[in-house]
Amino acid sequence: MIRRITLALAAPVLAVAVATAVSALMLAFTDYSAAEVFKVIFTDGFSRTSLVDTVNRAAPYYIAGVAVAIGFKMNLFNIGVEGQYRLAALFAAAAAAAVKLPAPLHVLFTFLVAMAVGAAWASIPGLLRAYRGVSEVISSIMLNATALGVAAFFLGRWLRAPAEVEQTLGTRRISPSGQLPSLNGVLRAIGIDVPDATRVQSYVILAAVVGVIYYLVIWRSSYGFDLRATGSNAEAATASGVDAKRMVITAMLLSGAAAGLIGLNDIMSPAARYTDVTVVSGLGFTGIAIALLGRNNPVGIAFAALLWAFMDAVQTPLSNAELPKQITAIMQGITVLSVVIAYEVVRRVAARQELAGLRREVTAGGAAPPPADPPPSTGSGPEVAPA
Amino acid sequence: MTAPTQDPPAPDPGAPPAVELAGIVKRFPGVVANRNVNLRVAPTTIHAIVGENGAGKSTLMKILYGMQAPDEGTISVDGEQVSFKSPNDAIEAGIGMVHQHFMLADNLTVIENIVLGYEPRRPFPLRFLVDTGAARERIVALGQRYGLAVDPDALVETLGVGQRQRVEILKVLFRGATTLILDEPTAVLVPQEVDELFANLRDLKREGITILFISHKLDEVLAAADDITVIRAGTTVATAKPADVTTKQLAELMVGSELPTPETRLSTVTDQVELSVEGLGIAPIGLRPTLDDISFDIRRGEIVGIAGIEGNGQTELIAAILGLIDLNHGTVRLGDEDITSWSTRKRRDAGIGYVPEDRHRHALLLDAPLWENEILGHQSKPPNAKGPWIDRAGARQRTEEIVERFDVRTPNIEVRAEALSGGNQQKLIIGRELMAEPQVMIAAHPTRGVDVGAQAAIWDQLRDARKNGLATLLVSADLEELIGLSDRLLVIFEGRIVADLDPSSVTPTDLGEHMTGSHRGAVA
Amino acid sequence: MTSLMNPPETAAGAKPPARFAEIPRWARLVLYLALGVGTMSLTRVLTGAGQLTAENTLRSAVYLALPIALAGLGGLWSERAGVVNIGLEGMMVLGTWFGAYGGIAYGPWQGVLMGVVGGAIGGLLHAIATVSFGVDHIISGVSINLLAVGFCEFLTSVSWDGASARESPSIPSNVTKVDLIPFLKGPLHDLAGQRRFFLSDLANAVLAVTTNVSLLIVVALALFPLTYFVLWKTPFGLRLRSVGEDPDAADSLGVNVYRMKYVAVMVSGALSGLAGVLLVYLFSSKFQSGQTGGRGFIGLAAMIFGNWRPGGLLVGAGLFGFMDSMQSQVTETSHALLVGAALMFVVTGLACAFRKLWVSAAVFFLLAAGAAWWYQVTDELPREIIPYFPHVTTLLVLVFASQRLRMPAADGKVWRRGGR
Repeated sequence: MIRRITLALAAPVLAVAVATAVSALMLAFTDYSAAEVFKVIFTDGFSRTSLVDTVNRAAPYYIAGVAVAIGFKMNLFNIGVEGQYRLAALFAAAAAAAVKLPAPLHVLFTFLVAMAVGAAWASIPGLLRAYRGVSEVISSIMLNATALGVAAFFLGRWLRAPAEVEQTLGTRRISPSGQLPSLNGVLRAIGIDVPDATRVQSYVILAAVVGVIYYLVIWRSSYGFDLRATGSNAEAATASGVDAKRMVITAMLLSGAAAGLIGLNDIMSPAARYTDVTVVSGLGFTGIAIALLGRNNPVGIAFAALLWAFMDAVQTPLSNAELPKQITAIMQGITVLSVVIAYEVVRRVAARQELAGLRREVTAGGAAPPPADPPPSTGSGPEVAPA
Repeated sequence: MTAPTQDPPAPDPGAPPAVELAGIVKRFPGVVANRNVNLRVAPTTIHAIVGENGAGKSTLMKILYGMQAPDEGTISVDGEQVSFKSPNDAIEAGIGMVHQHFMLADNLTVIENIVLGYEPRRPFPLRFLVDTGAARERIVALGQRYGLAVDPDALVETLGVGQRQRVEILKVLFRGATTLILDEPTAVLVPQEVDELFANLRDLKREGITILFISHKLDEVLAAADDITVIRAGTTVATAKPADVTTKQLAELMVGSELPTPETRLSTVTDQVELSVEGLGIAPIGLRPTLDDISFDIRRGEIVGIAGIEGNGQTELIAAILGLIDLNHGTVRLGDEDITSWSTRKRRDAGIGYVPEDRHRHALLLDAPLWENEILGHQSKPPNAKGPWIDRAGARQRTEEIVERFDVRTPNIEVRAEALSGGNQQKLIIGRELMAEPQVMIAAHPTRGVDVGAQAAIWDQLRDARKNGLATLLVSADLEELIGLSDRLLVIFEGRIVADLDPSSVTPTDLGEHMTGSHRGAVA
Repeated sequence: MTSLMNPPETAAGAKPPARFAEIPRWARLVLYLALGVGTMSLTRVLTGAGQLTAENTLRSAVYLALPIALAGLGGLWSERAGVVNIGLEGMMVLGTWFGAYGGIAYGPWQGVLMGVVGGAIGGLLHAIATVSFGVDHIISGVSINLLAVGFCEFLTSVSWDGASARESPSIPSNVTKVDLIPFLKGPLHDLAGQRRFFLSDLANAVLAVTTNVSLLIVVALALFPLTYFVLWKTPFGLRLRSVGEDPDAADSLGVNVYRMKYVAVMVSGALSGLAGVLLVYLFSSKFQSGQTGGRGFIGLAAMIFGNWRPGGLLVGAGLFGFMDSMQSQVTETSHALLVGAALMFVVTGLACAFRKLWVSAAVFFLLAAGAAWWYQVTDELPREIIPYFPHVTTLLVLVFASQRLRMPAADGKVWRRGGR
């Protein structure tokens, strides 16, 4: 057990170390001092303001990571999260602005609309994959782009707030009952001192709830068991009765529903509407990185989201200090690549050890005839040297 | 089978053997695949190697072809000792292998498949281009000379099985092979194609090629071969000429002249039919039927064993019963219900237990802990599920019970399945299936790759379940297992049930003959 | 197990009727091209949208098509060896950055070279991850995309005195433009001016590709027949393709599977890098963050559309490039596309009817009617969707054509020696 945890942690820790080393190396080629950069990262990065920023950024990253992870658990690549959350944010904002409900219901209503739209958009690649065999990778990437067009179309024609009400192109404002309040008061009450100029979004709570639901559905429900089994060993899952096509579609729906929630932080903030700039873009691909780093595990994704958000948030103090903030972007990129390689290496080493242990158990000359072919070799069996 | 119509030139008695293997030993972790193998193949003859599954034939051929290196022993080609580090070395020594599972790229043409890695080049100054014209000519010439005509420009995927085999043979002839090894060449051919193949082999022999082929079909071997070597349990047990030996004797040598005696036990077979299959047929277009009109019943308290050389339809039969594969004809009934159109989940939930042949591929989630593996296949019912939720406590408890009752050696139930030894994995799987109290159990090679102790324990469990009324379908290549456990023994050959035997009175030669399709008697 | 096509088991493969398949591939290509030109020409005549086939429209389409085509060609090289390369987008970004850097620091052709090398290095990374370490192809590709973007942004921020974090200065000098057919130029121009059905449009097409074009375009176009030549006519090409079709068979015949994959993926990266170079040199003359705009992925779609062959890939990229060029056209032109679509649907419907696929034929005729009706009741296509025509077209192509396509048999599979 301890060994498993160490192995699980080894890869990301190693990856971060590699990323830091490479980044330091790259800085060495520039005029900037690596020491200064890392000093800013580790001091200013941990200031209260920066930490609040980190937590706020981490929340949508977390949900994005969960959305992608649901797909990954099924060996599906939902790259379409980007388009799903954009459309969901637009329609949710419009819907929320169109109704008047008491606060908790209003918020819930907005969530539901966002989830429905996200799921609907995600169903397209799911159906195409299940019934036409079209790769969900390409179809969802195409749908990401198309979503931008569809969003622009609907916003321009039917969902826009009239020009006399709003000057910029966007939906109508959502009344305060539909906005997410700040958590500052609650935090102060329990003794955490939050600087006045900042604001911890209560969206963080939604992220936590999503994480809990993710855990419960995937790890505690029969459906989740089927999903994980299909992702782990599709043939064994089919032999145990799982309907592969149904799984593909439902998994994409769930993934899309989660994705739909990503943009809500922006539209349910005091800005209270959808415009082309209020909803941050690029979170879909961030979600992929975070799911990879966090190994699709609800807690792992949380750490990955915080780490990623930290590296984003620290760009502010870096640029204030006139240092190249993009260095963190590099660190992020290298971390992802090294992590996937490291996980693969760890997996092979572990598998090789297990298999060697397994083979020792098979006795020779017993009643069971030896298999016609040698046991499948993973590289440690006797093989002819490459030509 | 047609008799040879023309005598080949008598081989020169003084010439060294085309191929000679002496004292070959090959070990794998935990298994000795070949032990003291001696093989002598006279030049320009057809030499057959016969043996059961797991006898070590394939490993031997891989050694001869350079894909494996022997641990001990020598290989000689035309009297000179050689050592192969890779298939390329073997090819250069003139040995060509025609694999049982064709190594052909479907989307490439015949020419492309044949010349790959050995491409003829256009003359200077275009030396970087493939000389397709010359290749085509040579292939056509080879085809005519050896009677192996194939359209060189056809895409391999459009070719029938017999033609693909010709391409494989041309592949090695193109590279100048003088000794051909064919691995189970008639396994996938229909009778006419078999005749054509043997005619081709005789032509090849006449042109000076030496042929070595592996088979378990004794009729064909007797009709086509000049010499026969029998391998059993990893070692060569006999050599003979077809004129001196009968299929009976060969079968006996292959299978061993002693079969285990089943213990006398009370019959627990009742009249109630739990599983019934009727007229099952799977017939891909243009190929030999995979399943051909299979019908049998399994009763409560009965174990029906299916014997047969691997690849004769057992896998498809099991898949059809479980709903993993579509049938062209036939019905499956569970008790009174016709389940032919039911989904796999519905069948499993209705009480069909399954111990798959390949536990890593079909029965386990290797990176999941034992208690999650216990849920696999039973995830919609108690004790593993409570409504839509997985009942972890229930699953854990059931797993503990299984570990105890079935003697699964493991430190705890949290370890990942891949950490257990094969025997313990299998005990877990059997326990999982039996404790779900199924009506019918399908057990495929239940003790394959399992240590002796675990094997005995699994057999006991299956017998106990039988006593308690379980109807079991047992598919196995282990004759001791089949004879020891079954109440009835069916033999499957080329997709058909060819015999219904009584395990307590079946003789080894009978069984071997049925399994190799050479029995001369009416099917029971 | 990840690949870009997962044909459902029921697909028996609707093959074209035997006679049609016997027409040599190049003749079929010419037929399709003629069909395309004819449809566009007919559309122009019917709708009066003269700009549809004007020389500069077509040239703009060619310019826009080639980065997509080159990316697709990169994808083709990689997938023909069995490695899915989703990281094309990232390798293109590397190409844009290093191309811009080289162009600014040294000269245009040095920039081209650096861009190509930059892309190849990205390919090397992908090869190491997927071939040597066995990382899933798509995960590796996505990671490389992320890394490349961040890497290039960082490099931008520390180069050129950190003037901007998002774009580079302009390239001082560009690659020359050429005229390939000086003596034919005059007569072709005349022919084009006459506005004859089919012939004038064809003349415009020829002019668009051969006159006043950057040398880069010529070089890029030449890579397609060159690829065909290398992959289908040389021993090296045969071995590379065999690795993507059946690596076990190739291995059993002595082909070095690992080496082939490495070479293929690095070539793939180099071609994507060149695509990026084109984006810089032919359009903005500078590096700009985000300028690739998903073209790497569209290139992959073009590759699938072209059934993993260079000729079809070029046609597909041409289609997407043409769609791309609609953005800068007056609405009349893009509106006319509906008529063109209707005509295409009619043709496809006829083809289905010819093969007795009645349901499909009916569907296509219905779509044709719908497109025609849409044309009648509107004056223009929704402006917001126009930039995404290529993407929608890609989707439609994938949906309708997925049954007929044939990807390399071992595409996307992680291969290790000795396992079967």
